[in-house]
Order: sequence, then C-alpha cells, then structure tokens
Amino acid sequence: MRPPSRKRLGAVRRWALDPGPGLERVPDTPRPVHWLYLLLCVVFQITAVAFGKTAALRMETPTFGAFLTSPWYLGSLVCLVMQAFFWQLVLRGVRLFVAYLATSLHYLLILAAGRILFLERVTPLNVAGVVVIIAGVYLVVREDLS
Amino acid sequence: MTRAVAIFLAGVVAASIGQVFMKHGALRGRDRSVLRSFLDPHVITGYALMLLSTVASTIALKVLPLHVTIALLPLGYVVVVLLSVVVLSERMRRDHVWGMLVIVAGIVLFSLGTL
Repeated sequence: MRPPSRKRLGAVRRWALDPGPGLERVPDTPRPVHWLYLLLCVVFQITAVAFGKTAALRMETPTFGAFLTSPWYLGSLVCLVMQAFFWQLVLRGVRLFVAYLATSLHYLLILAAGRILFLERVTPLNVAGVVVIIAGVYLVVREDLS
Repeated sequence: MTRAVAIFLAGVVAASIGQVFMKHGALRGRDRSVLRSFLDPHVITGYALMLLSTVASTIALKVLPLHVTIALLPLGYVVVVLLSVVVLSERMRRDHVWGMLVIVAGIVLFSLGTL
C-alpha cells in the first residue's frame, strides 16, 4: 500500500482544523448556563457508572440478552447519551481545556456514590485526592467564573 | 509490558484528539440544534476516536499492573490541555497550568488511596 501523499495529508489536516466560516473569531466566554451544563455532564456520567455497577451486581450470568434486558444497563446507556448531549452544549461555550479539566470533579461524585450507594471503603488518601482536585479545578475555572 | 503501555498511550492520544474534533464540531454546530451537530463529521470522528481509545485501554489494562495504570491515568488531562493550546490556540494563563498540575497530583493521590 502506498503511503498517502503530502498533498492528501495537507487536505486532511485542513479539513480537521478548519474552524468554519467566521468561527475563528468566536470568543469563548462561558455563560452561567454553561456551568450548569457541565455539572449535568458530570452528574450523568457518574449516574451511568452507578447504574452500570448496579447492573453488574444484579446480573448473575453476563450474556448479551441479559445486557439488553437489564433496566440498569439501559438506564446507564440513556445517561451516557444525556452526557454526550450536554457535553456538546458545554463545548459550544467553554474552552476545551477548561471544560475537560473541570470534569475531574467526577472523582468527588464517584467517591460519594461509592460510599453512599455501594458502602465502599473510603481511605484518607481518597479524600485528600478529592480535596486537591477541587482546589485544582477552582484554579482552572476561577478566571471564567469571575 | 512496553507494548501494553504503548497501546494505552495510543488510546489516551486518540481520546484527546477525539475531544479536539468534538470541540470543532460543537463550534461549527453553534447555529444548529444539538441533535443535528451529532451528524457533523467532526463530532462523528471524535466519537469514533473515543471508541478506539476504549478498545485500546481495555486491551492494555489486561496486562498493565495497577501502579503503572495509576501513573498513566492523568495523562489524558495533560494531552487534552496541550492539544487545546497547540491545535485550538486556546489562551492559557499561569493559573491554568498550576490548576492542571494540582488536578493531576490530586488524581494520583486519589488513585494511591485505592491500592
């Protein structure tokens, strides 16, 4: 197989990086509603994980049919779709690196969900990690919040 | 194990590039409904890369020991930040860099607590 020519690679690169008409001047100034979308994104992501975990715990034999008929797995899938929906809305208004780093807040929710819903063990290092992550997220979003 | 690390890293890079594609798709679809923006080739490419990344990490995690996985986990955040600045020309200040480093440290700390 011949490697793609330089000209073709250039065309692919232009397509991938093309910001679209006028979009190169769109400022990333998040409105309060974008933070709500981001929060919903994180909540749906963790709910999907919690539903998936519940499904795994309740399923005796993991077969394809069992996956399709499990309301918990279907609920998990719905949550993932909702997460994707709100992620698009987030990306329309928030810089990618700010939004992506802020999603690390899911460590806080995963810790809470694990403890409350599944009675999992929480270690002091887990808690310390979450506190440090929250401090980091604050540093990242501080400018955009003010 | 080197091969597993390489596969895992390839997955991380694929997912990060996928996020850049999704950002492009989201910006291009600003004037359309969100549902229609899921038909944008950039968004579709983004999700395809995410799927590829999931497959790659599943293969790699079968072999990788937990302590190596913990060290590699926060890399996705760093790669996305780098791509945001280099490819998307997003403006980054010193606070953002510190924030990213603190988050990475927090994730490592959190993961050490699960060992």
